Amino acid sequence: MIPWGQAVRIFVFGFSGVFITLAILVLTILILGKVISLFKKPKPSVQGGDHHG
Amino acid sequence: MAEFLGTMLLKTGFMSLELKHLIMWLIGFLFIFLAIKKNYEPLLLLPIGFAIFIVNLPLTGLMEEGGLLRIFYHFGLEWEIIPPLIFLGLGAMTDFGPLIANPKTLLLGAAAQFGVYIAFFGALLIGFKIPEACSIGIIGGADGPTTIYTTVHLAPHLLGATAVAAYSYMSMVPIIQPPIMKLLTSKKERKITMRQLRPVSQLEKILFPLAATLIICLIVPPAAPLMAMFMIGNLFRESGVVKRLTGAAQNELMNIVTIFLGVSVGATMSADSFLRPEALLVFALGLVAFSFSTVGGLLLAKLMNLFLKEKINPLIGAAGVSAVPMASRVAQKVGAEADPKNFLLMHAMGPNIAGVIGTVVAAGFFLSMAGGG
Repeated sequence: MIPWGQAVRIFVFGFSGVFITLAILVLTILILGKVISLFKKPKPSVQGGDHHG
Repeated sequence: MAEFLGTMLLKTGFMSLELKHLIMWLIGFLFIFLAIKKNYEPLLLLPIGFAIFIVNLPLTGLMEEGGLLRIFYHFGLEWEIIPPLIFLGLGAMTDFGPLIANPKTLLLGAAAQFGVYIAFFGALLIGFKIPEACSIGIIGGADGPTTIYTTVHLAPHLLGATAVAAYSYMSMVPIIQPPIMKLLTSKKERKITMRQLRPVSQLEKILFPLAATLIICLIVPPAAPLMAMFMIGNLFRESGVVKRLTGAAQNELMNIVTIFLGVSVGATMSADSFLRPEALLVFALGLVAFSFSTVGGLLLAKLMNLFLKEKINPLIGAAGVSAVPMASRVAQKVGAEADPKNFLLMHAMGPNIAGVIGTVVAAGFFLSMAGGG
């Protein structure tokens, strides 16, 4: 006798859980990337910008 | 004198040899052949093959209580020391750069767990119980340490079959995957070139293991021993301040643990535990799991291409099965057959590493829901 209820629960929560966990990780990477780029010092521009001399 | 010689003869292994031992020797020799002649995962198949051979030498008692291999097995696998240590070494060897540069490839690692659940249902239909089905399904992740970790918790009596199936299929990635990859993709798709990945800063690489540990261990606590070790190894590497520890984790520790892992896994394959229909079913289901995991990664990559402006080469989806870096090399090779100028290796490393994380997460959910966690 296969316990279908438990099996389906393991599949639904497990497989979607893997996707949700990794999707949260994707969002975390994107947010970290944005935050880090905000704090990065802007590189001095070679063309245009402020030229003194 | 004759009586003494007779008694001595009975104490030698010759008198206890049976056909089942000879069959297991042949299996052991096949592993050794594949390792030496074909170079298939030699670091593992060689010690596994030799251990299969010696554990099936009668009267040696190597796997009986107090026997040498039994001690390795007990403290290494039953105490779950070896799988987390392997993950420590893997973390120290892994560059998460390709994954951080193209994070959507993490989803391919999730899709490649498809086969895990197909085999899970297949095992249930054949008559295995739920914990056993979980242990068999996880073979589809193509991740040996995670398979061992899950099986020790849920179905220790299947450890030999699941571990050997996982490592066998990992070594056979170049044989199993290409036909599936070619069947499910057109030549045009295989020719898709992908933009060069952006450089990833050291700060991002340092923050990633911390963030990943926090998220994964909070969502699936049973995955913590593997995930935490994976990420601490990676933090050693990326911090750049503990080069000695990184070196030790990558080399000495990894090599030592690999020897004990191979020997302990091979030691579980005694004739009595392996030559059973149950073990053969595990092998068959493992192949199903592994094949469908490849399919899952490929199909999600194709699906993503329907929505993405910058297309991804679906071949990298197949690398979503763990088997690092073998699966990435296979994606590169199959891609290069369609277009020799197409370099997919680094792009495939993203889903490949995501596959390791995905398998650990899938195992964590199994342990949470099937009573082992």
